[in-house]
Amino acid sequence: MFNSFRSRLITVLVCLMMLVQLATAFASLSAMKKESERQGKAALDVASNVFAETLSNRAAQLITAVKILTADFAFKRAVATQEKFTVESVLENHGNRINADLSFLLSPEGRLLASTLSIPEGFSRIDDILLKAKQKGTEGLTVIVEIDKTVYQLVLVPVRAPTTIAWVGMGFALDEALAQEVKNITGLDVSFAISAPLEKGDPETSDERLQAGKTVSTLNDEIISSVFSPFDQMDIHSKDAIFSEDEAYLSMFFALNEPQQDNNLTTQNRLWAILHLPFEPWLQNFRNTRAQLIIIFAITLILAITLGWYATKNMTRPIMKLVAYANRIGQGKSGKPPRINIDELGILSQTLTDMQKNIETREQELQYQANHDGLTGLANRVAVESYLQKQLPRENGCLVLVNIRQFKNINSMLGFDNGDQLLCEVALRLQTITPAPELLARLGGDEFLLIFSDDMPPDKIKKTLAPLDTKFLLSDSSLHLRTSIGILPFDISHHDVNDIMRRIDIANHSAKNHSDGITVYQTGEDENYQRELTIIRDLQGSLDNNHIYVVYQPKVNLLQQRCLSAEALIRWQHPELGFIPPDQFISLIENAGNIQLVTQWMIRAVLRQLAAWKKEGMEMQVAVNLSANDLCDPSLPEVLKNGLAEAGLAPSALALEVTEGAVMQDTDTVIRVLQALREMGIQLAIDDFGTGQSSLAYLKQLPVHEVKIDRAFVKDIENNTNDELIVSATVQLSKSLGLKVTAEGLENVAGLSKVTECRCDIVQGYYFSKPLKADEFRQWVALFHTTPGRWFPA
Amino acid sequence: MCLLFASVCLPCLTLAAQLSFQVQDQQGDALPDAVIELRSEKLLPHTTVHGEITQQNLTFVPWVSAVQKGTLVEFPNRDKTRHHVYSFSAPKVFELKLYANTPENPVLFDQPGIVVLGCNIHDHMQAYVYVGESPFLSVSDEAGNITFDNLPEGQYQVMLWHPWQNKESQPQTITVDSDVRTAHFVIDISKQSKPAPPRRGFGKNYR
Repeated sequence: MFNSFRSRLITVLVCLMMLVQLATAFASLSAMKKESERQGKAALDVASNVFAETLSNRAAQLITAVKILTADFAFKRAVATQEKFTVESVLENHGNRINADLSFLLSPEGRLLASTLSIPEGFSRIDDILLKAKQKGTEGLTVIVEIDKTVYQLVLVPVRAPTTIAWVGMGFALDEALAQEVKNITGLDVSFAISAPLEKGDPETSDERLQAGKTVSTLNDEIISSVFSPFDQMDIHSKDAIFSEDEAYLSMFFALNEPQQDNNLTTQNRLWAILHLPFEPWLQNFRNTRAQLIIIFAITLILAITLGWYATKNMTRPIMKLVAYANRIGQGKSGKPPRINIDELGILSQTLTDMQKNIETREQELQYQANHDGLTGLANRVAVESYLQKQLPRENGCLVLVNIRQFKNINSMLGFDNGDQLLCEVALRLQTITPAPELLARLGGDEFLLIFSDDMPPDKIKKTLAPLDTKFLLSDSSLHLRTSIGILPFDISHHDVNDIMRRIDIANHSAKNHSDGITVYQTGEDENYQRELTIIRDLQGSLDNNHIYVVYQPKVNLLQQRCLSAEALIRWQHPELGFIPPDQFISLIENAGNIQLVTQWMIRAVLRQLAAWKKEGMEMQVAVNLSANDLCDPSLPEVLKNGLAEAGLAPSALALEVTEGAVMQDTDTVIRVLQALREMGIQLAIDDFGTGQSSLAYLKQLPVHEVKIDRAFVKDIENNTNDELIVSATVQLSKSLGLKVTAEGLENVAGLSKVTECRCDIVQGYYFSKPLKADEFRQWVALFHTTPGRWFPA
Repeated sequence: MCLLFASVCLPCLTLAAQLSFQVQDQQGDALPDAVIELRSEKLLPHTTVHGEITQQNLTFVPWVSAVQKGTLVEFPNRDKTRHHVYSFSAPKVFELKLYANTPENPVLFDQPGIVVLGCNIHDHMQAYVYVGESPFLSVSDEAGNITFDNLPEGQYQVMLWHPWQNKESQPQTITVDSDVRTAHFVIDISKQSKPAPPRRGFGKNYR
């Protein structure tokens, strides 16, 4: 939510506004508070001036009153008597007349003559006051003093008869009545309090603390404690304005007396009038303003968010449009660019439009490149496949795959440049043929594919493609092209693109082996091909799952009439394809390059079987067929050696059969390997002697022990005199070279007498036994050895 | 700080005749209204004298008088207003209640000492009467001079007094012979203004 441009914009706006508002509110509130305080102080200043004036007026009135009193002749006369009781009476009497709270009489020298209240001993201030009073002469003096924790406004006036015969002091307590009077004048509450200097008072700081004791106030006791409590913790100075704890009152101190210092130490208690300004109204005012500000703040906040929401909507709408536009472009859809009035976003919109165009162009280029051959400009394999995908299923028409034979040779003879030029030329000519194909494509290399709308027989296609038969001129030499042409009518295969492509390829492949160079795909070709693929694919699985197994065909020694050796042959019972003839799958596997896998498996299986037979007491020499690839492996002797050792068998237990063809590939290596095997003590035989690429030279070169005469000369020996001669001659030749001779493929007893005549050493064939599984073989051997007469007629 | 400078120029004079005194304040200015009484061990004749202190222009005249004890003093009132003369001083407490002209009886000052006179209805009015033991007593004139003629020879104690004096002076002993001598005395005073009627009209002084 807060990641969106809009909410961030609003957040910034609102934060900015809040900041400004808070600052304004803070400034105005604090200014207001300061102003309130200032006004409060000003009001207190005025009040304190009024108070001072009030006090001064009262002093003047009191002096006058006392003066009138002392001018009374009777008073003077009474004082003149100097009788203590008389004087005290007259003091009390006259004092009462003017409501004095305290009256006393001093001698002109300052001795206390009489007093209505007991004035504390050593009230040292009397001397100071009297001195001041004397300086003022007859005018009289007022001073505010503390006597016994009570604050008095003291008036000192001489009694003149007519010279000064005594001083009369009259004290008027600063009491609640006065406080009330001051309150009536100033409108403020008033307290009178006493402060004492702290012990060890430092004159510099002149710490003063309000003294617990009598405090006179117009405030009630509850309020007073709240108002006075801050004073306990602070120094007091005249004109100080101090807030009460709850700020309900602002109090100002007004010093009633001057601090007196002895030896730089403030010793005298200080007397204070404290004016209390009710600050509550100011506070209320302040709170009201604050509440109003909060309300204004809240309203403007809501307004700002609302307005911001709408304003940013207008701002972000073009952006959202652009986002939608960009999304459409991303999805590859085209669309009109949104109309945008904001410059920057307009540029962005234009950029997006340009980008879309560029993308389109590039897409088209890519599309073209993806579907076309870069060299000839014809459609390519991808285009063909997608074309077919759209066309299928389809009944009419045919595909034709044209392949230039020996194009590799042309390339290597004339160079790649000319090869490419040739391909372009071919492409050009194919574009001119009639009827023109629906689609003309180069699948790659020298393969051109044409799709015709009508099914055409091979001769018509041959005619159509006749332009390719005329000579090509390449770098001043004329070239006659030979082509192979595969045809696949759609009605044969019309479902799967992969099938079609494979089958046309098969058809073309067949054409290469065809004299005309043109073939129509025959139903089933693909299935053969598939079967071969399955065979190659399933080899490993079948080896693991015992679908491939070994059978043994006895080899009978004619002289001894015993079976001492056998040939191991491979059999494959495929679960789906059924029995697969060995010559079929062996050649496939040899082509696929997997023959070593089979040979090794075979050797392991035979060695395992030999070991098992040995345990059972049957000594047997088993021959395994090796292919050319096996013999090219120099590690073969070592592998066999290890295998024999593991199985606990002598090397003579194993025999190996090789064809002469196998020797042709790499004669030196093969001979070296065979030599090594022979030295190990393994029996070696030449298989299928007399057929294929037989060479008597090999007979001389190969280090073998045995020659196996091919069945072709043996199977019909009893009827064919030539065969008999060949066998006889071969036996003679072999024996003269010191080799044993085995005849393969003996079918009947008549043959047996012939090969015996020809002096073959060993015979193998269906006459004795077909190849048998291990258990059957063992049983057969037992039977043969017990009743050899069944095979050898007397 | 109030020091008395009483310098007696000729301490041991025995010849009778005339003796002059010059009284000055501590500033060296001539001091009028100073009283000098010469007291002797010998019994001196009591000369009954009528004194007079008039009330004129709301003022006692003279301001300072010196009389021998036993003197009767008249208080003639020459103002239009009545006066109420009184004294609460110990040597003579008396009261002449509101009267005009001359009261019936003069007041007898029979005890030595200082008597301060006042008027009960005019607070500013003030006068001093020095009541001495000896007949030889007088008040200095404007020039601060006092002259005694026909003084019998002998030793006297000189008593010195002034209403403004800061301190009571100690008696000085002086021997009077036939030579005319002049003695100088200095009295330490706090100079004030002599009592005078207040200005007429409304003002501070009438409060």
